[in-house]
Formats: sequence, C-alpha cells, structure tokens
Amino acid sequence: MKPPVVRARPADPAALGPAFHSPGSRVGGKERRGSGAWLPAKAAAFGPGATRRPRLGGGRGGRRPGGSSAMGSRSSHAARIPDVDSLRRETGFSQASLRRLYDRFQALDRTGKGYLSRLDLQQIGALAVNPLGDRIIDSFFPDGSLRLDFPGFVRVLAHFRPVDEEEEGNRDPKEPEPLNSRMNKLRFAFQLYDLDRDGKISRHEMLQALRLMVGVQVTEEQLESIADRTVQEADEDGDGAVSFLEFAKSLEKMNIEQKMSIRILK
Amino acid sequence: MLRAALPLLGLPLAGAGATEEPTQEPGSPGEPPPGLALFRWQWHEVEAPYLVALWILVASLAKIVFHLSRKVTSLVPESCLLILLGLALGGIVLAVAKKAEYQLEPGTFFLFLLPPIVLDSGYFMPSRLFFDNLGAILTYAVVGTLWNAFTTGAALWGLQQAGLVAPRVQAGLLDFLLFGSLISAVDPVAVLAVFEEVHVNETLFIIVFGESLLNDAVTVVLYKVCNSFVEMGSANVRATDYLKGVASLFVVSLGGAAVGLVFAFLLALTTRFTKRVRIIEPLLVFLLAYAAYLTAEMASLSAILAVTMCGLGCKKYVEANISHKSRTAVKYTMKTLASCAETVIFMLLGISAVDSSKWAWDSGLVLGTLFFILFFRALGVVLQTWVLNQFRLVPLDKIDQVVMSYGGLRGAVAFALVILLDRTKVPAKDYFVATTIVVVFFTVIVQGLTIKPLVKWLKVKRSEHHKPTLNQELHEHTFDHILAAVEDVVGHHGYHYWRDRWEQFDKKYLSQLLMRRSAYRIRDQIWDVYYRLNIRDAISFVDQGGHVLSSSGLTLPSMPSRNSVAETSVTNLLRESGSGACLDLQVIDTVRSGRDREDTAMHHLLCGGLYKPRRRYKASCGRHFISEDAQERQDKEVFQQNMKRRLESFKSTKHNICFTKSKPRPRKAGRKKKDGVANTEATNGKPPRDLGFHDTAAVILTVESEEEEDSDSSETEKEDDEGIIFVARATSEVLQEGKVSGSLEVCPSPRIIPPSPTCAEKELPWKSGQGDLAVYVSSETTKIVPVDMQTGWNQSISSLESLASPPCTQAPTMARLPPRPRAPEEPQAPLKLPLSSDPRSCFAFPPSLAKAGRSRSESSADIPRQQELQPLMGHEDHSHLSPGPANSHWCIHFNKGGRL
Repeated sequence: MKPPVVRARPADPAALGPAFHSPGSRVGGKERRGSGAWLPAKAAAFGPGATRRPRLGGGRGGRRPGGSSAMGSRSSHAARIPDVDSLRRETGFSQASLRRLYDRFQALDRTGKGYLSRLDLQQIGALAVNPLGDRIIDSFFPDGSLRLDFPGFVRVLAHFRPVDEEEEGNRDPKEPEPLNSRMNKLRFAFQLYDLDRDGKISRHEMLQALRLMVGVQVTEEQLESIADRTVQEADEDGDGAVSFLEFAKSLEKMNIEQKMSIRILK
Repeated sequence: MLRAALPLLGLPLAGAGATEEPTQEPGSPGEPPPGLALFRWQWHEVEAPYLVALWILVASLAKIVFHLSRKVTSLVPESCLLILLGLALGGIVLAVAKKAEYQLEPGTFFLFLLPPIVLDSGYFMPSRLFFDNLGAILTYAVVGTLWNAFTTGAALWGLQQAGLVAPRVQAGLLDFLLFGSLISAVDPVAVLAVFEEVHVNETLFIIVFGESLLNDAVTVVLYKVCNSFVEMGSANVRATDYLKGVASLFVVSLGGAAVGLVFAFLLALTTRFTKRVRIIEPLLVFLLAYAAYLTAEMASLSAILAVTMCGLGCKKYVEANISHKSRTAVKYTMKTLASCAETVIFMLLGISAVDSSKWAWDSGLVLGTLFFILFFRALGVVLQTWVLNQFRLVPLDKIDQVVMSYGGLRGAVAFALVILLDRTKVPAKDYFVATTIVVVFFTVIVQGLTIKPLVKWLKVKRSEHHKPTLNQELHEHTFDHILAAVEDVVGHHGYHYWRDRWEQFDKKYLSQLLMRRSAYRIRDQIWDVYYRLNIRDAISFVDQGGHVLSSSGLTLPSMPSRNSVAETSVTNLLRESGSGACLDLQVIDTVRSGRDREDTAMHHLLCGGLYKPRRRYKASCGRHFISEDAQERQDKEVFQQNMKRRLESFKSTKHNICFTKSKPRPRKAGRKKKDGVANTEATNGKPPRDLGFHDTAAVILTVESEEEEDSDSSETEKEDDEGIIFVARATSEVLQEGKVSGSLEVCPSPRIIPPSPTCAEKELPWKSGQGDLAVYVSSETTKIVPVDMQTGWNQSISSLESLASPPCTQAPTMARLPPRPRAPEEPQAPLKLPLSSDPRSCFAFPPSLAKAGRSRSESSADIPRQQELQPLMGHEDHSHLSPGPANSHWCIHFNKGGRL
C-alpha cells in the first residue's frame, strides 16, 4: 500500500505541468514563499471557520512586478494565444475551445496584467458561495504560486474535458496519460481533500471537507462520526487515512469520466 | 373502479355469478317473511364494490399464480400474461353472459386506475437522473410525440389515398391525424411494466420512461385539438385555431406541471405539521397527490404531468418530514396500489378486446398502422438522437437507440382515448378501435416478449446496483461542486451551474420552509447516507439471518477490506446458526497484546457515552399521540454517540489491534464449537429461544434503534420490539483496574437503575442470590453491536458488571443497586448453577484461565433454558422497561457468565 501512496504524490505536480512552477519563480524570491512556509498557512486557511484566505495581500503584492512584463500578452488577439500548438497537444482542447478559454481568461484578468491572481478568481460570484470554492481556486495555484498564466489555466481545466473514447483508443501508451484521464480527474478531486499534500486524506482532512459540505445542522460530533466512518470505509491498510489508491478504489464503480467532465470543454 | 362497476349493476350477474352462486344457497330466495327476517340476501346493495373487490382479487390471484413459476415470469412479462388472462376471462364472460362486460371504461381508467401508477412512478423517480437527462426526455416527449403523431397520421392518410385502406373506412386527414395522435404516445404503464423487468441501464430507462410520462401533455393536447377540429369539421378550422392549438400545448403542459408543483408544495408544507398526528401522514400524501390529478383533470390540463411533478417535487420534503413508518407505509401502499391498478388495467384490456361489437377490422389499416408506428418511432429516435448527441456529454449509442425505438410500447392510454371517440363525429371509430387494440396487443405482447432477449443479445448495458457508500456520496458532492466551480471559472452557465444555484436556493429557502427543523438535518444527503448505512447495519445485525449479515451487518457493508479472520468466522457462524442461535464468541477470541489497554480506553469511552442519564419516555396512550418528540434530539445525540463509539471500536477491531472476547464462556450443549455464545436475537418481545446459559447475569440494554425517532404509534410497539441477547463475559482485568468507580460516577442515572425496580431485576432470581445483577442500561441508547463492536461491548459489559457487581467483589457498587427480589417462579434455576463450586471470584478471569473456565463450563453445559428466558421474561413486562413509544427498541441482554 505504502509505495504507491508515496508515488502518487510526486505525480501530482508533474501532471499539472512545469508551467505551474514558472510563475512563482518569476515573481522572485521576495514574493515567493517557501513551500514549507506556505503549507501551514494553507492548512490554517482551511481550519475550522476559516473561509477567507489570509493571503490576499500576497497576491496583490505579486501583481506589481509581474504587471509590466505581462503587458505584451494582454494586447494579443485571441487568435495569437501563446504556444497554441503545444497547448493543444498537451490538453487536447480544440482550437475553438482554447480561443474561448483565452477570451475568458482575459475577461477574468480585469486589470490586464496577463495572469490571474487569486483575487481574480475569487471575484467570480458563484465561486464565493461554493463550499469548495477556495480549494478549487487553490488548485489553480499549485505550490504556492501567486500567478496563474494561461497555460496553467488551461491545464487545470483540461482535467474536465470529456473523455473521448476513440482518442483514448489510439493513444500511444508511451505518452503520458492525458490530463483528462480517469486517474487525473480523480487526482484533481483528491488534492482538494489532501490539504497538506502528503498523499493521504487523513481523518482530520476528511472532517474539514465534510464540514464544508455537510449542512450546518449536523453537529460537530456527528460530523466526526461521519468522518470516521468515511475514512474507515475507504481505508484498507489501516493507517487511518485514505491514500490516493484507496480513494480511487472507493470510487471504482463510479463513472468518473462522465461525472467529472463538462461538455463545453470538448 | 366503483364508477366502472356501477353501470354494471343492472346487468346480468352471470360473469360474477360463477363465484357468487355457492353463497346464494343459504339465502332465502323466497318472498320475505312479514316478520323479522333472520336472513336477508342483499346482493344489489353490495354488488358494485363487491365486483370491484372481486376483480382485484382475481387479478391478484392471477399474479400470484404467474409468479409461482419463475421460469414463466422470467421469459414472459407479467403484462403479457395478464392480457392473455384478460382475453380468456373476457371469453368466458362473453360465453356466459352473451355480452361483453367488465371492459376498460375510460372514465375508470383515467380517474382511478391511472393515477396510482403515475404517482408511484413520479414519486419514486430518481430525480437526479431525471433532471440530468431532462433535455433528452423533453425532446423525445415533445418533439418525438409530435413527430410520431403527424407522420403516422399523414402516412395513414397517404395509405388511404393510395387505396390500400378499404374505402369503408371513412376518414379524412383530420381523422387520421386524430388517430395518429392517440396511437403515437408511448404508454407509461406498458413501458414501466416491461422495462422494470428488463433492467436496462438507468439512463436508458429514465429516458424511455420519462418520455412516456411527459408525453402525456402532448398527447392530451394533440388529442383534444384534433378531436375538436374533427368535431368542428375541417372546413371551419381557422388559422387562429391552429395557433390556439399550439398555445394550448404550452398551457396544458406548463399548467399541469404548475398544478403538480403547487400541490407538491402544499403537501410538503402540510406534512411539516403532522408531528402529532403521524397516523395520517400516508393518507395526506395520497390525498394531495390525487387532488393534484383531479384538479389538473378538471382544468383539462395534463393530469399525468401534474401528478408526476407532484410526486417528483414533494418527495424530498415529504420523506424528510414524515416518520419512518409513514415512509414505509407510503412506499408500500403506493406500490400496492400501482401494481393493483396495473394488473387490473392489463386484465381489463384483455377482456375489452373480446368485445367484437366494437370492432371493425381492416387489414390495410391495421398493418399500415403497425408498420408506421414502428418505422416512424425508429426514424424519429434516430433523428432526435443524432441532434441530441451533439449536445450530450455521453452520447446515446446505436444500441440505446434500438432499445428506445423498440421500447416504444403503446398501452391502455391509447385504448382509453380511442374508446372515448365519438362515433357520430368519427365514423371510422370502430376501425380505429380494432387497430388500437391490435397495436396495443402487438407492442405489449410481441415487443414485450422479445425486448428482453433483444437487450441480452445486443448486450445493452444493464443497470448495476451497488450500495451507496459514504465515500461515493461525499465524493459525488465534491464532484458536483467542482463542476459547478469549473463552469463558473469557464464562464459557462450550464447545467451544473443551474443545479448548484437551485441547490443553494433549496437549502436557503425551500428546505427551511418545507421541512421541519428536526428533519432538516437528516436530509443532508451525506448525513442521510451515513444514517441509512447505520440503520442497515443495525437491522441486519438484528436480523442476523442469512446472507444479509455477511454483506452489511457485522462487517460494515461499505468497507471493502474485511480481512480479519475473526470477523469472517463470526459472520459465518452467525450465518449458519441463523436466528435464535447462540454464537460462541470464544471462537473469535483472539487474545492480543494491546487488549488490556484497549479495554481500558474503551471502558472510558463507553462510560462516557453509554450511561448518560436520559429521561424515560412517558407511556403514550392513544394511537394518535406520539410522545417522543421531546426526546428526538436527545435520542439522536445518543445515537450519534453510540455510533461513534461503535466506529471507534470498529476501527480497532478492524485492523486486528484488538479483538477481544474477553472471557471463556460456558459452552452450550448441542452447539458446535462455540464457547462464548453471543446470542443475538430478534425477538418480538418473546422470550428468546436457545439461551442455554447458566450463571448468567442478564444485563438488559434496551436500546432504541435508529428508527426511534419515528417510533410513534404505540400500538405497534410490541411487534417492533426486538431483543438482542448478548451473552458475554466480564473482563476481570478491567474491573481490577479500578475502572469501576469511574463508571459509577458517570452513570448513576435512573435509567441505569430505573426507579421502579426493573422487571428484569425483579424477575431475575439468580441475581440477588448469586451476586449477579441485572443492570438496566439506558433504554434509549442505540446499541447495535456488530462484531466490530465487541471490544466495546465487552467493555460495556465490564462496566455494567461493575455496576452490577456481586457483593463479594464489588461491595460498594452493590449498595447502589435496588434489591432484587427473587422471582418465585424460577427458584430452582440458580440452584443448578455450579457457581458455588467456583472458587474464583466471579469476574477475575485472566485470559490464561479461559481454557479452564471453558472446560468447566462444558461440564455444566446443559443449563436449562429457563434461565435464559428469565431476562426476557423480565423484558416481557415491557411497560416497565420502556413504557414509551419504544416500538423499535432492541433489547440487548447481556448474560454474563459471572462465575464459572
């Protein structure tokens, strides 16, 4: 049980692609927080009762140095999306989808800085009321980066591209799994639970997730018992936590390809 | 039904006569005597309801007969059999009465037979699936039905123009369109009857079935419009009439849906306030749904749509509001009524077909219609699916399309509509009737018979049932939220976006308004699944009969990895021993190192949770009063606590950290290799069988099942009582660790030792004499004890023992206990116990001594049954134990072998 669990971890950022790291490095050492410092902050953000993230200041600070360098991409027309071809290959999106997403990306980027900050995403109205909204926004900003550029944006959304069975059939087995594969879809959901990124959903993390999703009327004690049972249900090796493999196994009967796809992202 | 039978009143009784004759003999057929009649025969006063009841009885008996042979019903759908039976019965009636009787009257059909079926299907419609596929369903229902009606009608007219229909069929284009409109609608009754047995995958089923329900609006509109056009004469139809026809489609469908939703709202709101009159809850559901149907019918809106929407809309709130018992009542009544109505419909359909006076056969018309409805249905499905697949995430493949085309069954709705035609206005009515009958019979019998093999042959994806797990439920919610969020990010307000909106609206306003507060929490879906899983575990644990246990009882159902040898062995034991058997817990007694520590921890836990003082229920009198309201919250909390504890102990046992059956058990005579016998038994207040234990102290835990919230009607309380008898053993170590005092502190509640000496205590004679005490624990605590919980149980036992400790070992504890008079009827029972010979202290049983104790007990294996009965006898005196609405209490008796 253990080794796969450990392996699932590094696979996660790898699946999201290297570009996720680049914005963070561009920001410079001043803005960039070490992952060690970041993780506790993040965990705290999801602590009981904490709904608003305390990192808005950091996001705002990051905008200034990035602003000037990104100005060029702002003026580009939708047809001139940077790296269209490689993005298409990587994500499987059609040209039209990419163009639409690029328009959306630019619309979200209100100040025209060429990348999205957390604030940009947080200002999407419905996302604020989504119980998982914060976590989903977080998944756009892996490893504590503060900027989301277009390739990163598209790569996250590529998880929700419907699975094309034919395409799946002729896929070269040597190629990396496409972003919208079942496992990657699951991995996306998994990392919403796994706040401390240790590759396991601990009981505590489960409890936090449940607290977000279950109505207020359920008492804390009841929540705990639900969390207990949920973890135990999926936990196979008895470590009191749900690893990614256990997570995937608990959902093996579910049609993830279908449930985690959005038609318009074809 | 009544109304249908009324016109039959004056008719010869020949049909029913066959059944009636024998009873007529004792009657006095002669002139009534002037004086007081000893016996009077009043057939005519009861005739109508009598016939109705008889027909239903015949139909039900027929159903039973069909199901006697599994082979037949697996091959032939029930609807076919019923139609054939109807044909036979109709033939008999015709032969006897020389006149066709008991036909399917449109009035009866629409007012009495159809509503239950539609309500049933609407109420139990999987709403999520329905709305997920709403687009496809609506397309097929509206566009498909229109397409079918117009193409079929036009093609038949073309057939007539081509001279292939005999000229005696006098019908114009409008007549054919009218006929097309009534013959084109897929029939919900027929579809349901056939598809329920086919088990195609849910998506396919919901599309076909949803279509058949929703197309009613279209059918009604088309039928009415065409009918009025025919009556007006085609020359008088103006352009505005066509516009009105189109407008009426919206009025009828949206109006019907609105009526349904309004009644759903009313129904949900009403059930919110039925807390004190639980008994009428099921009635309300039926009344308001029926009112919705009648109201829509009255306003000539789509009644089927109304009642479907009513069922669909109210379910969530109604289910949350009404009690568990009412839920069951609603479910079964609905299913019974629907199945009854369906049976009668098919049978009457068969009977009606016999009446040749209504027939006028024309081969061209019949064959043409058959061909066209099949052809255009298939064509329509293919065309629509092609369009739909452009928009569907999961396209419908060719096989689905074949099944959908072939599953377009016609049924009683078409028949009833064609009977309703006015012969003076539609001269070809007789031909249409004959054609409709043939079409209905063909689709129900031929297609119904062949669809199963077809589905098998095409390898259509079947529906697979798997039990819900908490993980699935939770993650499904996560997925929904993720998708809604991604749609937000992408900026596309699609299905997920709107569903999310709706859910928020529902949560914020609707649920607040329509659900009683106590129910609100339970209806959280995750909580609901959790709750249901627990109930299932508990029920199967109590049932403990057969395979249910293995899947969901002791091993919590949703947990895939149950590798513990001990648990499997228990499961097997339980399974083979069945209800009432004694289980030897010793079999699963694997002594582990961490046990004692675990015991201690568990002890504390249980002390905290088990014995919290609880108010007792007041005895409820009167069937209309439910006394448990005040307790509900408390009960739930108790339930919570207990489940939590249970889980905790489960956690430990699951991974084999600690699985203790603490002590050697006396061995049961005649049992297999079981030493400690855990006797779990579901007794309905009756003494348990088979409890052969000597020197047992009964610890009676009357626990409330999860259903306790719903336990209202006190009249049923006895039947629902279930006792779990546990025979377990004390852990001496725990006692010695001095936990006793702790437990005493926590649990000096009147519940534990009820103020009035519990019956158990009173009547357990061996108690006082031998120092084993009956301990009364909370009558509210839900204590479902799966094997997983045994550690916990043992702990609880030990703590109980500490309470009920014999004077020799735990003198201070004793002081707290009320004196237990020895039951006079069983004075000799304790004498048989070999306890006096046991030098050891009752509770001091280090595991090492287990063997010795066991062998010792074996010698005294045949302890008379009555000892085991005693706890239960005490329990029988139920009003003492749980005088309140304790209809779902489980009594858990702990017979701890005090001394060996």
